[in-house]
Amino acid sequence: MDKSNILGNLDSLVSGSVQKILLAKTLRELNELNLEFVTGKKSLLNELTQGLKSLGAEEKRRFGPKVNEAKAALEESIKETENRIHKISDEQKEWFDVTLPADRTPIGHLSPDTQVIRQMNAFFTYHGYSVAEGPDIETDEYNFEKTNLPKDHPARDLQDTIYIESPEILLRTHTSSVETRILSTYKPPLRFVVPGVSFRNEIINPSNHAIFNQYQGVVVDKGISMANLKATLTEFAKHMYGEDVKTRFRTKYYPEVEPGAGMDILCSFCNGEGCRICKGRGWLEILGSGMIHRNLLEKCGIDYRTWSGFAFGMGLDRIIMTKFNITDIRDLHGGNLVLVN
Amino acid sequence: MRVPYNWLKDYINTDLTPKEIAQNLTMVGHALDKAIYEQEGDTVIDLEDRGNRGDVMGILGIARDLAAVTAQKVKYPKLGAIPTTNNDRFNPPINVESDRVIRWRAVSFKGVKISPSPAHVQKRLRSYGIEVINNIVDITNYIMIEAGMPIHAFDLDKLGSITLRTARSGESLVTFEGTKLQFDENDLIAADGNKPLTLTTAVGGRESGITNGTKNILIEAGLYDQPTARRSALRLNVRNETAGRLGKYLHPDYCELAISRAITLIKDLLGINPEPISFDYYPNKYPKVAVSMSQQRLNLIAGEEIGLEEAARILEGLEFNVSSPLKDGELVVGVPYFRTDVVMEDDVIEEVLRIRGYDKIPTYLPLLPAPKKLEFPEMELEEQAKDILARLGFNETISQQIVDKKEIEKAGFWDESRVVKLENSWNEELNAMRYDMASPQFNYLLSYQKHGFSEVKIFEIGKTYSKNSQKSGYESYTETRKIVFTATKDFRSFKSDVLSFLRELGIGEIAFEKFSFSLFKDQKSAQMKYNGTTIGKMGEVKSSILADFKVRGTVSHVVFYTLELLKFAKAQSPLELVTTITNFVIEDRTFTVPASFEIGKILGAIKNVVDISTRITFVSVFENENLKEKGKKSVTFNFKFDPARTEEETKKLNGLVFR
Repeated sequence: MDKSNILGNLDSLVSGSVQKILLAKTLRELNELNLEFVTGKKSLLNELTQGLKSLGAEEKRRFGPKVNEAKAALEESIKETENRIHKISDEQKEWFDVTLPADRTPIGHLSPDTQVIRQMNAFFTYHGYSVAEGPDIETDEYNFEKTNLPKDHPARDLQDTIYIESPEILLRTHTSSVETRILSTYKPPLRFVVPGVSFRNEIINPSNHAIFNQYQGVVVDKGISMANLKATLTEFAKHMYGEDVKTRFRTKYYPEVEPGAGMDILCSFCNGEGCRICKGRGWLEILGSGMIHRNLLEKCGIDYRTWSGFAFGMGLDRIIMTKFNITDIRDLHGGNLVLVN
Repeated sequence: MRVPYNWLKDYINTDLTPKEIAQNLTMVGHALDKAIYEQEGDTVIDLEDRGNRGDVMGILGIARDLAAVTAQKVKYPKLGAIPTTNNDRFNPPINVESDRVIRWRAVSFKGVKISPSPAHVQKRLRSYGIEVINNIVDITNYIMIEAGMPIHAFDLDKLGSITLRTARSGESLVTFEGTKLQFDENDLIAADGNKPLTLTTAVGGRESGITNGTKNILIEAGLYDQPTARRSALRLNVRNETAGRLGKYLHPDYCELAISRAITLIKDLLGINPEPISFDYYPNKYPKVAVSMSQQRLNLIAGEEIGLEEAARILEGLEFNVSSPLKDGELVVGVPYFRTDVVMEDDVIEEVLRIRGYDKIPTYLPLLPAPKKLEFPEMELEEQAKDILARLGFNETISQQIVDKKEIEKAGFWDESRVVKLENSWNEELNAMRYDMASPQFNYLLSYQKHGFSEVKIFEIGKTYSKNSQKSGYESYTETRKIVFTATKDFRSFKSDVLSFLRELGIGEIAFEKFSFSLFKDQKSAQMKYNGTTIGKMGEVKSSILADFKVRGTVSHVVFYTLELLKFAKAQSPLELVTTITNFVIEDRTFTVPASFEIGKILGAIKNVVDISTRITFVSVFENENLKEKGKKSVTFNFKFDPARTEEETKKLNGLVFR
């Protein structure tokens, strides 16, 4: 089109374009019109702007403002139409069923074991403990000799051991084997926890398994006392069971410690009255603990005159089962446990 | 240990209720084992057996601890004088031929009249829950429950002599209950010549036992090597009151106590005195034990100052002999014979703290700063892997480390020389250590499918175990850490998960190489390499294997070795942070290549020539009849060039030829 002609027909061209824009029904249509009239290389607006450049000074003065007006009018019509189309879409009257079922986006979940272990680790790492580990296949030395369970110790009969090559190579019967490994390897001061599986040759039933998870903790430092043990484990109980949990410490025998202590929490089912769940005790046993036996420290090469420490251990499976309402321990790792999101 | 309330009150004055007694005893180390119950008109407090204390296997021992807690004195029962010891003149002749006999003390009585026990004795025994037999047997049981020391009565007229010796293989005994025990050289017996009379560590024989016609008796209290007692009981499956007690560490003085007590009770109940000579075999007398406890150590363990006077008072309440005066911040205590568990300073400290009450110990956290962190990088990587896999939609499974050999075989991994086998197990079928992590994944997959899930993504992080038959001993066993995941997906779709997983660990640029692996379909099996090191294997699981596990559909599986991943993890940042928008020049390009040419190789060649700023994305692979005839396919990639380099890059790509 002749440039002067364009400018001459400016009004009608612009109003025709604006009309077309205003009639657009979809955003796609509008985009095409936008390209055709406003933004494209060969768009009307571009043509007008180019046309203006070739004019003399006077005509520029005459048409300049008109081109600006045209630009404003076109852009405004685009914006207006866009708003109108959005509004139609937003206020669509067609009935929609918000109850239409939708599939949940699948999300992966960590096992109950990992969740509970992490909950415990969170407490202990906050208090400066490392999370440690050790081998499942163990030697008599680390599993028994160094844990203060020499060959003829009666407790060995209680811990029916699964052997790979008796009497020296076995599956660890407790995570205390990791305690003795670490105390034999690193120099104190030490603070660490060990979540881990242990094995005993026991008849299995809904509440007892030959393969079970333990959670063990150890502190060795200067001046460590029963007072420290009590405070740490009381705080831990609050972390796991809430601020209001009531704990008590009572004497309990474990070969690895002396003095030994069991920690109970008040039975929440009977509030201490004694019921079937707590076997009439009114309290539920949560963990075993005590001051690390000086024989154990010595066998691991630590001088008990300089260092003292406490250790504690608990079965994880019962805690996991309670938290996730699992009633049969065999379901925990037996291949049946399906996580449903 | 079952403690009938009224029987307990024979030895201690107390107004405490059974519940309060149970509470007190629980706190000092004798936890209530089950709810308090009524039996034979008495209330029974059933306490957990405490592993290291033989003394509390008798009601008297329990009374002693209760007395210490409640500041009472124990009312000891009457003890009769034991006649003069003369082993040579004792009749019948007794020979001890085993060093496993620690002490053997005996007396005999003549002219006994066997009859039922008086009502009060029967009531006591029934309240404890032990069968009532006759006056003599009841007396032996009474003493065992009272003092914790088993004793045994023989019918003197049924034996000529007694020899204490280890059994000979082939010897056997019918017990008083009628069970036949088949002995071996590990069992300690009492025999009359070649005829076994008792398994002396656990149970008496029928033939030499007390019957209604018995007139003359021998009563003996013997202590033996405890491990021998425990092992015989375990192997011969004799788990009774006697075996339970003789397996614990009782002091030889208990023999003296039990015989003295028998003399009193037989006099009281039958009105007869022992014969004038007693027997006592006790070659190695146990020394008296004295332990010193320092103020400093007591304070350290308690975490507070506890006066030695208070400690002394507590220990005296437990019948420890405290030497006075206290000197130099140290307490020297004589340990009473019955407390065989107390041998060192910390044992004495426990006595002080437990009777004083653990609740009195203050409560404060360790005062020193936290020590240096111990590093376990494999575990940390695995924890990170768990989070990544959960984000990718995988559910974590945890399976047993001990498996059925058949499971390993099903997955095609059984290797007799490499699998770690167990010598003993609670279940005959579960007799091997996990050798692969694939079979448990398939079992879990099946569970998900049974629950109606069609799309399943699961992972497990754990160890497998293997044996190197070239080595021996502990060194020959290896625990291999693995990260495996499995999904009901085909190879390529699963590869997306694998790549995202690795990328999140900071491992990009993985080379996939076709690799034959028994678990995977021949063509859909690859090993992954990073910088030339194999980090894992992935593939589509063979249909035949899935069928053995009853798993349906297409399943892909990957196994990574934690140790290998650890070498390369965080080699690259998993996140590219971009703030400026680059205007790329975008172009699709198609390469025609031989049909079996690996796309990975094309990509490798492209990456070799183009600049690092050029982004390449695979678009599609195309084959039609025409191409097939020529044995070719065409592969299209999308390129995003830096505008300034477009020309140069295009030129390089034009130069690429694939044959």
